[in-house]
Amino acid sequence: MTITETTEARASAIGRSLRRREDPRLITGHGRFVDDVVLPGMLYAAIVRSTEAHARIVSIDTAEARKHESVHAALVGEDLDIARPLPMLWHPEGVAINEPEHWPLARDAVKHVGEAVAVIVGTDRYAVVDAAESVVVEYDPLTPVVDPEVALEEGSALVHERFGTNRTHEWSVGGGDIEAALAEADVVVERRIPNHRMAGAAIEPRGVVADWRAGELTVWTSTQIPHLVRHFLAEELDLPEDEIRVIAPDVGGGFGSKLNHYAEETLLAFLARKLGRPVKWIETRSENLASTTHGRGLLAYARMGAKRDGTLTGLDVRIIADLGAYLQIFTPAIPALGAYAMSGCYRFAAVQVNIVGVFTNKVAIDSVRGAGRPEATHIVETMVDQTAAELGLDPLEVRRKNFIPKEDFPATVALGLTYDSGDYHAALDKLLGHVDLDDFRRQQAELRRKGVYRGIGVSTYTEICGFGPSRPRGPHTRGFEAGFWESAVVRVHPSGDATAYTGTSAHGQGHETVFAQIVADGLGIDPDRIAVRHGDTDTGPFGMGTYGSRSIPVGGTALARAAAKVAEKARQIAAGLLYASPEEVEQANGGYHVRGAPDSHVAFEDVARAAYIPEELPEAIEPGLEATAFYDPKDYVWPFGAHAAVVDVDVETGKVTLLRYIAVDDCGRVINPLLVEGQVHGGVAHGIGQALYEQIVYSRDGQLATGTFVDYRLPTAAELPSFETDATETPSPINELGVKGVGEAGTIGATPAITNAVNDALRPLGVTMDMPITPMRVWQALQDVRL
Amino acid sequence: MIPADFEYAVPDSLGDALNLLRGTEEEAKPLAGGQSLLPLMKLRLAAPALLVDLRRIPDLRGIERSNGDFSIGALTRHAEVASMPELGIAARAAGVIADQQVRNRGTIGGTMAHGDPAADLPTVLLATEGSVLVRDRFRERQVEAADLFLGYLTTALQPGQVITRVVVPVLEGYGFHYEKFTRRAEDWAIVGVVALVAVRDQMCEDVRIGLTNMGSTPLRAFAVEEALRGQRLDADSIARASEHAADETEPPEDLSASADYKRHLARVLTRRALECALETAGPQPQIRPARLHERSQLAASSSGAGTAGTGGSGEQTLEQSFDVDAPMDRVWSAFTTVEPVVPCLPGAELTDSSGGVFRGNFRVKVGPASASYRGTVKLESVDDASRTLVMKASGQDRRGQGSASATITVKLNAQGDAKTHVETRSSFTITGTLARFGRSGMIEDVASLLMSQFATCIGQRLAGKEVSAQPSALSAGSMMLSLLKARARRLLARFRKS
Repeated sequence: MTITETTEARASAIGRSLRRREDPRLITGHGRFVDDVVLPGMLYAAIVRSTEAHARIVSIDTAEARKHESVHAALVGEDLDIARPLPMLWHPEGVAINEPEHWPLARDAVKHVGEAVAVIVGTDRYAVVDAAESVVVEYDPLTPVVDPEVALEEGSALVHERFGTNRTHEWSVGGGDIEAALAEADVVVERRIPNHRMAGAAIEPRGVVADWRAGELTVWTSTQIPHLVRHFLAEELDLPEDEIRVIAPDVGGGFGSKLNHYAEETLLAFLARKLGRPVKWIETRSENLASTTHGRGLLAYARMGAKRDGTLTGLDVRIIADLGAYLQIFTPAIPALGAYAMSGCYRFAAVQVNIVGVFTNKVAIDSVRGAGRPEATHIVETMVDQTAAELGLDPLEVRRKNFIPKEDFPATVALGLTYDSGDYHAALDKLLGHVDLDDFRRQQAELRRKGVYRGIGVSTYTEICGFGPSRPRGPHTRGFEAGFWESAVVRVHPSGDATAYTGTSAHGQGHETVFAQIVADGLGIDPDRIAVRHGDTDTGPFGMGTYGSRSIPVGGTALARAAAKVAEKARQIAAGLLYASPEEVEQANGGYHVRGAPDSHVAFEDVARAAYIPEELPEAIEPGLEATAFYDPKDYVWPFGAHAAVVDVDVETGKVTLLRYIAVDDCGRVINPLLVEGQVHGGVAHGIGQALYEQIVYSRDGQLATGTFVDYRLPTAAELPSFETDATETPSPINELGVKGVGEAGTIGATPAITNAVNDALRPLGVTMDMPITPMRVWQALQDVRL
Repeated sequence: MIPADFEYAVPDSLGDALNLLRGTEEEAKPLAGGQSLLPLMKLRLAAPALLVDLRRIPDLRGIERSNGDFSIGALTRHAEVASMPELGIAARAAGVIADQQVRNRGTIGGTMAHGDPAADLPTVLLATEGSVLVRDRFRERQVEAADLFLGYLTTALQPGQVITRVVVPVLEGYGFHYEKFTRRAEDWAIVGVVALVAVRDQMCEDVRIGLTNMGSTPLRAFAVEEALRGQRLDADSIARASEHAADETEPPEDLSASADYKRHLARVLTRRALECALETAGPQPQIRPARLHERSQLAASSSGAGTAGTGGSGEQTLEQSFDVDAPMDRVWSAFTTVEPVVPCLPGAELTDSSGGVFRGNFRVKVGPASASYRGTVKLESVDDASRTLVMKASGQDRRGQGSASATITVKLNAQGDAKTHVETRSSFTITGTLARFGRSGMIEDVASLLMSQFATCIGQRLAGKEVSAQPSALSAGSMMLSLLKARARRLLARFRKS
């Protein structure tokens, strides 16, 4: 398609596959990441981390480290004068949560491998690492708590003695009468479904530079939430919030692992103030795997009830969540977020989710792409397949039979949440347009005769995203100590170019491109004329950051609203210039004209100029041309889709080869199809990674056994097929753009599709696999049934 | 990831390089492609004071063919080897090493010198019965592949020696295949199998099977070769013979594979490799009969009851028992006073003791990687009645990289008046960087060696035998060598008996 720019009709920017404008700088090495920040007199910090999973600190000897001539300071936990421990932000009413004090450097005891115990600061980036090595920490080892089920047993060693239990909290949500629903079923399928820990594994590890200058603190941090970080730093350091500036410059990925406030942010800010010099700390990959939050890490006991005809009656899920040693900002909330999505695309009479959180001597769990929802979707979608298998029914027929029909939207499900829009049949139909299922089954049978085990797996998902309405929706979405609205400023300059500021904080998504498209349509000008700024607390209004597939539905809507306000004012200015009443003036062709008189055209840049040199304008019009909007969505949005995976399982070696992956996603109205496809690709790769390759492993004594990328196996291009993507487009009624999020969709759809495909391949052998589906585990499972 | 401080030199000639490489491995280490050494340095598992970069030395380049051998310059990159199909199995295996970036930097000489049993080309060298040319300041010598690989990251190379050329026999007309099993394309082999077959009139005239990552070194699957040599080669005979691929192997475990799984893989992959090799075999092979038919080779000697590929380096337990030609009271007194037994631990030295707590240092070294601990040994419990004691040792790495601790239970049983049976049960835990170094099999293996060496030494010492001083650092290499010798002696003895 060629786009011809004419003054006659300006093509809409929304819906165009514009290439990412941030890419030229990022792929030619001109990005500005935290490690690119170099300040005069800057010092470097290296952190001494616990090598023990659980131990009392007997002594820390930093004498040797202080002998290095370039070392300025060596500090331990007791040296830090910080007003309050690191925050946790989820306190639902009536839920008692055991909250351990979590300080930037350990005090008295360490609770996981990788916990910071001391910091060395000096002028030489290399020498501080040498000095950190010479710190001698004497530990008195305590019994590590590793297995969350064992941790709940009477008499287990305790992560935190003071609580007298390893239980962090209990939380449940339910709708309908679950016992009645299961009693009504002809068959109740029960399964134990583990969902292993994984790392966010952003390509850029974390990093912080803090600078204390003339009584003001500036912190550069690789984060998804700069405004929240500023707020926390103000509290911890007892500083006025206005004297702190937090900047998230280019951020090389986060995947939820940077949706947090970390110890090092506080530590570096403290050091900069104490030492009066800027200090930099850049995380190594090994530190990242040991100290940055992990995701998933839960064990589910699920029961699904169904009638003989395939009607699903109820879903009961008991979750044991291995939350790690401390509670980061949303640690205990993560499994609850999954519970919101536990109904999937289906009409259940009743759904019940009971969660118990467990302390273990591991790094904390928190958000990783999908944060709870991939776990929930994995449970629902693998259970549907198992239930169908047990009933001898086609798993797709079972899905179709139970889908919430499109006529029912907005649809309130058993859990009390309301799905905004959906057409699950359409997505599944479109998926099946890419795979001839009958032909596949014929092929499959033929291949099995030759000893080739091929399988196909489908998942049909819907997920809650667009976080979110600040006021609770549904009975159990309470407790988040943050509003999830978003802010935007659109500022038109005298030239007619514009800058859009968003409170979201991009870290690879392409906001600079898509947000320009949204604002461009609002202002009726070309997206090239709009710069997008984010991630700096001093240049835009307070904002909530980027996560939970929220930036387009919430941040994008805020921008659209700010742009609409600007456009309205521009119309009034244009009316002034055209000596017409505003009601008679309309936006067209990159400017304004009097309705019915296109020749009366006044260009947008003339309007902008007039806004700043208002000599011709009526006095009632304020000078300037900018607007701020705060958008608080009235409810969540629910993207959905249908994914299919085709795999071969080598039943001799256990190795799974992924042959095809087909993803049909519906994220409402699409702003930029190219970027949506990119998000789906990345998300699917992430899900495939978890299903087949990636796993965080702690040994039985709490040592992290996957401390490098040699053992933490991210899939590479060599492991992945060319993804086949397609889409349906069901606008959301929640926001005026009709948009939903898509950043997590691929990850949510992928793990059950892969698992179902492997189990489809192995069904004739009587084997059902759980993740991670590694060759040895498949081989072991086959051994077990052959015995 | 910042390595410890080191100097760097780039000499233009081999002579200059060899001069710079005088001294121990900690003092100076040659750098070829750096794809294994540099990561170890960045993890601070290795910290040589001087790196001597060999890349500018012209003698280490070029590929020649003469007298039926390819002579490949040690600095030849894997990508170059992979791009020359005439190199046969070497090209095939080089093409699946790690990823393209590693192949562009890694060298054939470097991989031989590093001696990683999970590397691909050492297995090729072993199976083709190739060799390396080794130079030091005084002479050049040729080392057969079978004599080169001694254990984990441990070769027959001495400090100051450099591999100059890798000699791979031309095996004209041989069918060949390398079957490498990985989880991801770029990973080290979980198991790899080199198959070479020479076939005339469907009869197997020669066959070589090499195994990657099935022991502390690359291995030959002699039992498979023996089952096929001189036999008709077809799917059935291959399948039957391949069942012996893992005979007598003790493969190291890691997160991806238990020993049993690896043995299973070796059998499956051997069959597949042979089937593929058979397809590519020429009608008129120039037979170069295998010189090595049977030979004691060192499989991983791990006898530890480690976690089977599930928990990485969790607590490991080793059990060992041995007899001492000394009365039980004497043995008991040695153990309960501690001092007499500590010198038997290679790499260990006592510095002082007070109140039943002994302080000392312990150093362990595996190839270029090393760890140095300082810590204490104390008697936890002494039960005179049952002649059982529990010793607890714990230490911290001197470079802040973690800790190691062990609980050793010793139980004595009198075997008459002059003989004592000693049962030991040791459980040990390693924390920190070494524990995160996912090739946990390596640690188990070294620990197992350590314990067996300890047991042997104690047995001899208490029997009043002259015991040569233990090495100042536990070196896996020297111990592997002595174990190899011990095993060869046992084998020989077995033959004599029969």
